[in-house]
Amino acid sequence: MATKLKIPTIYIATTLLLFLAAVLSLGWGAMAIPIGEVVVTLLKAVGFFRDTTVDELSAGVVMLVRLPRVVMGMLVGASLGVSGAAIQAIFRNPLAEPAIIGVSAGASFFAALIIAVESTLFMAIGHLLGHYLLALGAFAGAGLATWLVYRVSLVDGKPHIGTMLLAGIAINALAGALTGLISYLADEQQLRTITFWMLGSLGSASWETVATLLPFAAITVAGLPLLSKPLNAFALGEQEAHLLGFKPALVKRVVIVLATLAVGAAVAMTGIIGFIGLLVPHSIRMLGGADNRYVLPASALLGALTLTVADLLARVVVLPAELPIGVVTALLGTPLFLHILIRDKKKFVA
Amino acid sequence: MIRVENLTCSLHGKTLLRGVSFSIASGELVALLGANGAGKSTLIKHLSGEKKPTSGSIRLAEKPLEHYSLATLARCRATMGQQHQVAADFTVAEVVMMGRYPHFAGKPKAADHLVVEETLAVCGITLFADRPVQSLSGGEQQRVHLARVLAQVWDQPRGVLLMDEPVSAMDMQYQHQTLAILRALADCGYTVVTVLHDINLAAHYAHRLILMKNGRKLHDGTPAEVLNERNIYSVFSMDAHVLMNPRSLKTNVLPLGKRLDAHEFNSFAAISTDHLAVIRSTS
Repeated sequence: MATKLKIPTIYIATTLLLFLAAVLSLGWGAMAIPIGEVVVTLLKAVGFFRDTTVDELSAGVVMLVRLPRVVMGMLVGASLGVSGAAIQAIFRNPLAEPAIIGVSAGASFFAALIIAVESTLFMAIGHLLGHYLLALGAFAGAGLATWLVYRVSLVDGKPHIGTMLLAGIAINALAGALTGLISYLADEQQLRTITFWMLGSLGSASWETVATLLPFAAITVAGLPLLSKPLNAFALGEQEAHLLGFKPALVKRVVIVLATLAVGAAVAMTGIIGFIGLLVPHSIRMLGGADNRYVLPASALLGALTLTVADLLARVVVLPAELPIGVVTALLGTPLFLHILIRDKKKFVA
Repeated sequence: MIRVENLTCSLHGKTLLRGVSFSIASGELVALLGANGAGKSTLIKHLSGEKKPTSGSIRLAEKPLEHYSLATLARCRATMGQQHQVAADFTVAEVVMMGRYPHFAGKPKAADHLVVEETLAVCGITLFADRPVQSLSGGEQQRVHLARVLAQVWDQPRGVLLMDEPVSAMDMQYQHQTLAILRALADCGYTVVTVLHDINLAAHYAHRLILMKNGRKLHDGTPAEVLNERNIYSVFSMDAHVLMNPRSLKTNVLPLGKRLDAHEFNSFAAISTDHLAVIRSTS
């Protein structure tokens, strides 16, 4: 285990990189703004350097366009990372991720449905409301799918993990088929919108969307780490957790509700962003061990970092256009993950 | 101490325990013996509160078990189950520290670290402390879980230990080491109940044996009282020789072994093998 890093080192490194990535993201883009100016603008916003003047246009770009987008990326990344870690803990399976309880598939189906009927039904309401309707619908879809999975998984009034896994697969397949049906019936423009939505984008970020997402993300990112002791005990088995004085049914319920709130809200705002919920907790465990008291907060941090970097790349690689962020997270993360996997795989086989 | 009165358990139309009654005082090490499916594990699960009795009562220190909160119970009673599979890449020290979870909120205190250190040492796994549990052998993993269970009540001299086949994967040295630890804890005032399959191990260390069959308690008493040819045959359907070891003054059971003739053992397979041999030799 000599390869494992010290946990404080991981926290400090991730936090520093997160700040660095955030500042870079604020400066870099279709309109390049010097880092110094970015820093002064930020400090002005919190009350320092009142007398220094900055270019109003670049200050506007930083404060109104890029900063909300960066914050949004951090919130979404942190939500996905921490929810993935907690879901893997209650499923006692490293292959689990938030999508397994139907969040993403439910959201996709409802989003596709709304995109498909929007052009005919909601044109009159206007595009802005259309966007909110899309977010609201996706959130409702996420909640509905998870609720169905949860209901099916109840055995004697308590959620049963094996049943939940199967129910999740079934609901995922059903929602996937219905989404496919809508895509089949959709016209070219709708199909394009559906595809882009499913690849994810932070393009819709504004202070309003950040404010909407914040409570959902905050309650989950702050709440799930409080469960790290019972989630550790879950690794021994639900019975053992019970014998150690925890309530497995309650823990499972809380994790599912919190994960659905945060991931559902995140997906509703940004579309499907894969990879983070699955691989970020993995990378964190490979770096510093399996103790959830470290894995949960560190997954939130690394999730935020990964998404911030991915969004930065998504924006600057094909300037002035933008890549879908889901593509970037997978392209960026998979080689990194494979590298760690190949380096450490002997440890897992042994 | 534990008092069990007329404990009955039925599940899916099958009766697993039928009117079991006994009481175990603090300071006693009691071994549960019996054939597979006799209800030993079911009894342990009732004593630990994992299962609720269909009828009958269980009292812990004169208070009905169902009046205890989960958290209180977790601080004074530790249970070792049969199956152990640690899901993630936890180290030995982390798993043993999980045994202390009922005792601290937030970060472990100095006392918790001390308990972990001591239980690791007594189970002989100090050297493995930083290794992932999954990389250890079956017997070593069992010692990790033993350490975890001991850590849970290590500083509770009136504690209760419920062990379901705690030594099933261990080598001879650690089978004896484990039973010696349990005996020492019982002598300190703990109440210890353990399911065992090795009659001689049980006879050597336990104050009392409870022999079970088909969900009933058949015999209950000191090893010298309970272990005789008749009782052993009634519980295990095995002929055995029982004698007093003149050196240890402990009761020793020597099974006389089984012998199965081929036609008794599996006549169809035996006959068809014979036929095949005949066919091969003639062709």
